[in-house]
Amino acid sequence: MWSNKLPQIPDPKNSVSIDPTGAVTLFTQEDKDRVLSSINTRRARYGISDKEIEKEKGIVEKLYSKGWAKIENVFENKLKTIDKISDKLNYFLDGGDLHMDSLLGKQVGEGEKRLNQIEVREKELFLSIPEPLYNIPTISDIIFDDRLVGIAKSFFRCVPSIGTLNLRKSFANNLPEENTTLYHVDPNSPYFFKAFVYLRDVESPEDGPFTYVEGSANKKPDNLLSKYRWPDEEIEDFYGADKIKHLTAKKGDLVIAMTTGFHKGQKCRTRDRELLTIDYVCHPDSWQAKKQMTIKEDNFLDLPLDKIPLTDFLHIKK
Amino acid sequence: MSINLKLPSSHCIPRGQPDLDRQLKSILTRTARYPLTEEELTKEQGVVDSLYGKGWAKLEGLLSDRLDLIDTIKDKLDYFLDKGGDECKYGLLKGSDLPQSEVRDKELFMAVANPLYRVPEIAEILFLDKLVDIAKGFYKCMPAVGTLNLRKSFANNLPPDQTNFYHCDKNCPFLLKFFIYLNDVDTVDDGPFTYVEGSAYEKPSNWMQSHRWPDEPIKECYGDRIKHLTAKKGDVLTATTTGFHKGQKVVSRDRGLLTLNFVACQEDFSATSQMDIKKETFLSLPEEKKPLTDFLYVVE
Repeated sequence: MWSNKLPQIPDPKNSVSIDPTGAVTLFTQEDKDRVLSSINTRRARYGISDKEIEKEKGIVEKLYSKGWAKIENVFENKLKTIDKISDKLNYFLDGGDLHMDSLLGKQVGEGEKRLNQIEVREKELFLSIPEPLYNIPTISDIIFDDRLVGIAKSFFRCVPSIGTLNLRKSFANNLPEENTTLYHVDPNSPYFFKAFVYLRDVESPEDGPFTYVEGSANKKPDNLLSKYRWPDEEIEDFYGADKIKHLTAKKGDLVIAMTTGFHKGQKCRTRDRELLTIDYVCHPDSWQAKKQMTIKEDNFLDLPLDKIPLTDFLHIKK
Repeated sequence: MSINLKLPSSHCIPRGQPDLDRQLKSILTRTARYPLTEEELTKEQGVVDSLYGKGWAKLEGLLSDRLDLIDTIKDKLDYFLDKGGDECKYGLLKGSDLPQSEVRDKELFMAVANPLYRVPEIAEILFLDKLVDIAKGFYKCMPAVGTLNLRKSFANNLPPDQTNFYHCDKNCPFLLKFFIYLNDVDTVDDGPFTYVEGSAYEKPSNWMQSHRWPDEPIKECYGDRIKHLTAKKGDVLTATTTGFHKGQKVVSRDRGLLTLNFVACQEDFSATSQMDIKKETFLSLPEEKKPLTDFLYVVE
């Protein structure tokens, strides 16, 4: 039975990790074994039925074959929630008081170096806010959504957890491509996926969609470790232009991807893009408790019992 | 009586205030996740006061009704050390696969790798109410098991090295260990755990200059606060090992030692050093003790 099997973890030679010195390297067989240990541990710790695991099998098989999936209207009943998140993001980017800064160090829009979107929109690619779940508790309506959690359960075949989150606004301007607007492979884990929730419609490549190279989670160039960020030409030459997928979507849709494949955020040219990104994991991101994010205690206490394990890798703070 | 948490100052923590903040966050997180009553947090207040004050405590005869269990653990330790190989860890001879009979004159110690998995009987000590209650009182929250160590130190003529020198554990900003001798350790020559009283909270300005320290500067700095913690089989020692300590070099007779780490955050803030617990051991735990395994892998 599909549910009894362990997930298909990509060969470590197709993954990218960052070692403690900051060098780009590969995950190892030991890392892959550790992922499987984490899944088995979570299976022992939190019961999960075959039915739950089988529920989103179709989506997971799509993720395995293409590396991405788009599900329309997942949040059609939560459009107001998405608007609230957008309003709060803009409130903070306009200089509104943050409740909590991040311990993660450099993050645009934080602490004394905090930037205001009006001042920087022509000279920055994006602004993000630190500790989004703590600063905007409404986000929990999205990240603990039954459908999304169901997909994560089927993907990991165990009760998953939230890793890190990102809430950012990318500015439509004439700056050259840089940073996450260049292709890269995420080094968080050999096996995880990200959920992308646009806070506004993203309809064309000029609107800055999340862009994914289909099939790249299981196929990498021989010179994978030669650099971390890759220009469009090299990726298109290796994979073919037909594998490049600009994942446009409406507000209310859900895009998910195994970001151990090549991907980038297309540079916004026509209009700003607001994006909530959530990592679903079976172990702490990069196995580092230092990267853990925070959930408000009230928010945590409001969760139904079956959702509590999703917070295993989050700090809880009043 | 106080139920206040006594954390060291940031000066006494290798990576300073950021790690102290992380430690506190973890404690607050575990407080919210697993609420405990004041009664639970103060059950072992006397021992906790001693840990906060001196940095160590001795629980005489705590396991005196479990001497057979200690012998079983010791026999299993010897079973693995007699085989050698990748189920063992070596002190000086990294990568060796020799049995204890062939290394005992050229090695400081041998240990069993992944001891809770290979010697599940350890769980009968590890999850004892008394130890868990002390850890609860120490951290003021539901603690968790960190890493464990099951080793035999060899009586030989090698000079002191590695953990025979004074050091402060860096795995966590705030760390509680329990030490269970598998045989009587009666004299300094038997290789007792040696602790510098009060040093978890008081460190000289240059303490980070070196990880390992010889006896002289420690004696000079702390004087009569150096305690050789001899004990009988059946006693349990506990200490805040972020203070200065060492394993006195064993000279007269081999020393078997089980060390249990209790933590309130992941050691090194990383999941890579996590150890394993057998699934059947995990499943046999009462529900209220399962959070103690949060930082262990559950393995068939």
